[in-house]
Amino acid sequence: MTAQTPIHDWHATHGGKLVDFAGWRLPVSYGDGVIAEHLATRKHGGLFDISHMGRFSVRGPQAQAWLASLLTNDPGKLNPGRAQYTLISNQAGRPLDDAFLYQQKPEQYLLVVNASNHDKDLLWLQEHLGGGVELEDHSSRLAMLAVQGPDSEKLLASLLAEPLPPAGRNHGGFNRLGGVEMYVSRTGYTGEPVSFELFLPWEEAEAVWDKLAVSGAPLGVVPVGLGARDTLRLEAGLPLYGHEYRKDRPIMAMPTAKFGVDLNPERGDFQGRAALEAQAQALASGQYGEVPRRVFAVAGLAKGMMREGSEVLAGGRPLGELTSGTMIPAWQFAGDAPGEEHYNRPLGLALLASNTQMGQEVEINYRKHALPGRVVKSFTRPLGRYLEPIQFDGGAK
Amino acid sequence: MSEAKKAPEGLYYTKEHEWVKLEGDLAVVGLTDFAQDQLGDITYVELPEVEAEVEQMGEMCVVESVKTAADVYAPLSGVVAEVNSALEDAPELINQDCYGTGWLVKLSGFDQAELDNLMDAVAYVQLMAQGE
Repeated sequence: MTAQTPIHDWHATHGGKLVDFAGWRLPVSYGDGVIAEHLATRKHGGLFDISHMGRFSVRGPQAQAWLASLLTNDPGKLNPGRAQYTLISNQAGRPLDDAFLYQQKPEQYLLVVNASNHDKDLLWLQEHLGGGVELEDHSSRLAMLAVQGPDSEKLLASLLAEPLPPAGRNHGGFNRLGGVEMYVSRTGYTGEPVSFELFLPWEEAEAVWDKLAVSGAPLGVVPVGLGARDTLRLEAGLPLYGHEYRKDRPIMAMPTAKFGVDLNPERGDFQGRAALEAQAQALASGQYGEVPRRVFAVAGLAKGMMREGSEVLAGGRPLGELTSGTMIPAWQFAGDAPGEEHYNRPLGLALLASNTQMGQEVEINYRKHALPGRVVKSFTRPLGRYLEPIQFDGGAK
Repeated sequence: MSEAKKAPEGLYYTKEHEWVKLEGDLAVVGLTDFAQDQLGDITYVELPEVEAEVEQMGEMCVVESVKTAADVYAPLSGVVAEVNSALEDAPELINQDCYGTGWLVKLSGFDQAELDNLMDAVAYVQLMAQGE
């Protein structure tokens, strides 16, 4: 039996192609399809029902200390109205999950985890529970919606009763929309410079979603399904648990882990700290012992395809393989904004030998073809309120 | 969705979900509505080279969707006379208009007798109904 989010009936009656995902019934796309939804998010904005994700409430006088003992980032750096990327590590420096921690009040946090890891994470947290901490599963009490993209701020400003959270990544605050109390955070999983997530009561979520959809339509802000959610995060170089992060892979093999791991000596010990220090040391030394392979961004430089599992080689020498990859649409920019034309390009994330150099020319084997590609730092860059695709010159033949 | 959209009359069909429409000396080939619906959002089409020779029910091109890759088979033996290069930048045309602007290739030099190996719309719709 698959679970339904509070927006399920709306999805079903508005062209959503519903699929089973991590135990939930969710739209992979709506009528116009994945490509259109991806492009709309980059040019105007997208609405995402992410109520399937796990949400744990952590409260009490010892909440911060307890979270600091179990999470790789330091919740001591947060204040009420701030959030941070973090990971749940085991003692061996392998990830149980990657997560986002939102501090809402002095002794009140929300930890948002992947739907596929919800049960495992909750068990782990319960097993390590300490005194002075109240841990509750709010996954089916709080709904979670994301509003992402250049016009998302205009949309929310027109609907919210209170001012938006102050500009700047990961800022948040309590607010109201149509009388519904909610927490609004400048966070997201699309790479968009302007992005928001809303936490609100489950039973109010469909009415709020409908308001967002109705008011968003004239701005070009559209509902977006799981398909474009994946292409958007991939284009932004963001990891997905089960692909880039795996339970048997060192956390530091994913470059974005450094934003979620705080090894400051003053912080004290936490679950996995010694192993993570060894991984960081291996990367810094250039010896790579603990981390023989790490994740790189790989751009295809010709027409062709790549997918998860595709082998990556340099001059015939195997470097590793893709952990995610597919065809991704991009706007042709006209000046400092998306124009009218779009193109598609194959992009992927790949687990490659750790000594691989940025700019390395590679071949990506997919089915019968070897696609020329290049190891790059990033596929996109922020440009004002837009995320601009970086274009790569054609590959060497 | 109407039956006409699912499998228009006057076309020939394969059990692998390709359709053929005769236009003078050319046979226009595409994917059926059933096929595009099963594949989901199509994100890439690997078209054959013009002048490539294909054999009836031999591999002709590849269609990639968000979900999977699917081989497309040549409904008739012949030579690729033309490919729908609009699909290179807009593969979603197959989802939007599989019997029109989402066509794949045009074949020339095919053998009329091979049409006997294909189905008409009624037979194809019946086959789909049995499968469902």
